[in-house]
Amino acid sequence: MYTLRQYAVRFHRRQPVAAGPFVEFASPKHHVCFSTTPLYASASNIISRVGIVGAGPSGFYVAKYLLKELGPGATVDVMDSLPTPFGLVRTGVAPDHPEVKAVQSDFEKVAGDPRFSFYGNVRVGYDVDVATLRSLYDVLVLAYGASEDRTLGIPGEDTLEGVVSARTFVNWYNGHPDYAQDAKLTGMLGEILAQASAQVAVLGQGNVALDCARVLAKRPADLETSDICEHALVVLRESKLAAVSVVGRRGHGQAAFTIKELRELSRIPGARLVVPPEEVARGLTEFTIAELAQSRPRKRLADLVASLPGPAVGGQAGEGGERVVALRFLLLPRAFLPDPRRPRRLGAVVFERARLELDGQGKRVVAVGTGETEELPCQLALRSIGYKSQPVDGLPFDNKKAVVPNRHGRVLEAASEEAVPVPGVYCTGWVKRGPSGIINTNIYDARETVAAIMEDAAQGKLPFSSSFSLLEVLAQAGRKKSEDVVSWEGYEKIDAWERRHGAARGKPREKVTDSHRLLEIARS
Amino acid sequence: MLQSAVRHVTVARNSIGFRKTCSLPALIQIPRILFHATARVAHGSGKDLKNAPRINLHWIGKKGEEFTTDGIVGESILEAAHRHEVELEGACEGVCACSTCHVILEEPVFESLEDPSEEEEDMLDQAFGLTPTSRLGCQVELSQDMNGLKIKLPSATRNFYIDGHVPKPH
Ligand SMILES: Cc1cc2nc3c(=O)[nH]c(=O)nc-3n(C[C@H](O)[C@H](O)[C@H](O)COP(=O)(O)OP(=O)(O)OC[C@H]3O[C@@H](n4cnc5c(N)ncnc54)[C@H](O)[C@@H]3O)c2cc1C
Ligand code: FES
Repeated sequence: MYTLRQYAVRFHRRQPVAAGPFVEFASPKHHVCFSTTPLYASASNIISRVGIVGAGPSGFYVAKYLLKELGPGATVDVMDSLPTPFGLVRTGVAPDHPEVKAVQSDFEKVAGDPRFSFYGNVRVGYDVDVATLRSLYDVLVLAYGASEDRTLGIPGEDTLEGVVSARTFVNWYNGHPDYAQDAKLTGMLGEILAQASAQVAVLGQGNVALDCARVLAKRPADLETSDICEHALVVLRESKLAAVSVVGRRGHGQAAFTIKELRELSRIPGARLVVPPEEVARGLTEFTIAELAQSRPRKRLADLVASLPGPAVGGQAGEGGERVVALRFLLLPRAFLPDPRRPRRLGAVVFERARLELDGQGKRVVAVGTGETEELPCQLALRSIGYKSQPVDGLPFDNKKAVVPNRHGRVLEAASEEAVPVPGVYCTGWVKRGPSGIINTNIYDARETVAAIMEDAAQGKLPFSSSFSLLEVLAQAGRKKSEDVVSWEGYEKIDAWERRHGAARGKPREKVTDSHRLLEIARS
Repeated sequence: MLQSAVRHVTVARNSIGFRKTCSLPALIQIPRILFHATARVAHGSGKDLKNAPRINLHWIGKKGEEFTTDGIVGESILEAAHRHEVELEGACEGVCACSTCHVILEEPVFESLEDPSEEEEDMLDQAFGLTPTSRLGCQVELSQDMNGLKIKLPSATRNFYIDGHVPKPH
């Protein structure tokens, strides 16, 4: 929370930077000003105010690399719709992967820069619109990620209880306030998993799918020391899950998960990872073998899949308390069927068996239905076929690719080859390239976007910004009171609270999942 | 899971004395790794390298620029990079879980090193621009014999993630 004094200091600190030469630059001829005024020709002097929408990895990496380029008088404001920063590192990355979350300490260093400010609980497009933000900042960077998911479009998907997106499930166990507080969701998951020999199907074969399978298959005792939310642990402790099937459309040569995550799944105490050998055999078509020979990562991954045991002959899933995790390949989801005894609940997924073929151009391996079907009984189906970004009012959006149209991070006026850039607006991360890739990928992405920004600054292509502060503008719009905006100091209080309460339970942190409570702690 | 953590603690030494990294005391200091089957610990934690001998490291940067820094025997390539603000990320803080510290070595040196562990190989598979002589900077510890070591940072060209190997785990 900002006190009036902090706010005044922030505001005044900006004045000398924003005033003076920049008034002149407001003229449409500012290109000329730059070339004739060598004093201001350094790109780092030109940028004085940066706004970043989204405090996930991509927003933080852009802040990190920009701060290296900018002068001492510049400011970088990072806003997020959640009261807490770090995006999917907090709400996506699995609780039992603390080493992946270590990247937060790098981001904390970025936040420690005196030029950096955090504005949590500010939803762009609702609390403040993009046009206003553009007038506030010389440089506006969109890094708002992907908060929707792709759907299958098959019968039963929207109507049956028990068909849930992996995004929902992940957000639920990771304490995203919009999901963790959903009592109906918690009740439903609890009820389904507590059924004797419960079965789950995860549709999709990326790392998110493996995360879901792992969290479900692990013994609760092995999750208790992670930062998984307590409400999720309560459900998982009661779970009588027998089997999880992780089902993909194509073969093991095309699976999107990575070897580290698969190896981990193969070594879970109390669970057995299996794969039907005939599905592996059918996936090894001539072109897949040729493809595997070209790529070391794919080859190593395919070899690991092929080395996994087959399903036990005659053995029952869940025998002796051991949970079975089955990788299944070459199955196209066709329909969700109700449980005959409880028609509103999911009872099975129907798949059509597939074979691999090359597409028309002979480049991409596609799965083609064979007409043969298989019914997989399950009470919970997690749809894990990808995230999707959403448009924000006032900015162009490429509906086909579900990204903000851009060229090297410069946002374009439309999604076409010839479109021109929108001055001063950039993007990075999932909203720029689509929802794929690891945290690492955002580093390259951010570097490219920062390079574009600095190039444009050097060429005088950035618009002029006003000297109002974000808080003033929010207050004017009347959507958000300044005491409801979480500053970095506010987040530090949340962080300390969560660590303290986590330590009492032997966890790295116990996340607060109620937005009001988060704001209260930040204000305390 | 403890088993797999311990498996990687063995300090192997090959014929010319390059040491595989990871030290047991470090593992004990940070109990959180025990939560996780594959976590390893940042190198150098707790090590006193003040009086350790120094060697020269020759870097080839992302744009092909060359420069030389020192390196302290006993620290990892990543730690040397961070001491000198060389542009090498270490998102997981050196526990072999992110591949952001990917570096490319010269073949003779690469060959002379102990083989990377299975975990490092798995992470390397996610690295951009993987080459046959790629290593993770946090997993290679500097030794006296490495004086003059050439370390290439994978180039980050504009369209790197479009043209290069794109891991698509999600
Ligand atoms: C379930 C899951 C597990 C993953 N596990 C791993 C892993 O183990 N290792 C790994 O390397 N990568 C992992 N990833 C990938 C990694 O999380 C992403 O690459 C990365 O988070 C993308 O960064 P981003 O900043 O573009 O998006 P996000 O991380 O999604 O950040 C976007 C931020 O913008 C905010 N926002 C959204 N809309 C608005 C708005 N209108 N106004 C203001 N703010 C807004 C959101 O609240 C969010 O904080 C995982 C991804 C998922 C989904
Ligand atoms: S720093 Fe993460 S793998 Fe080396």
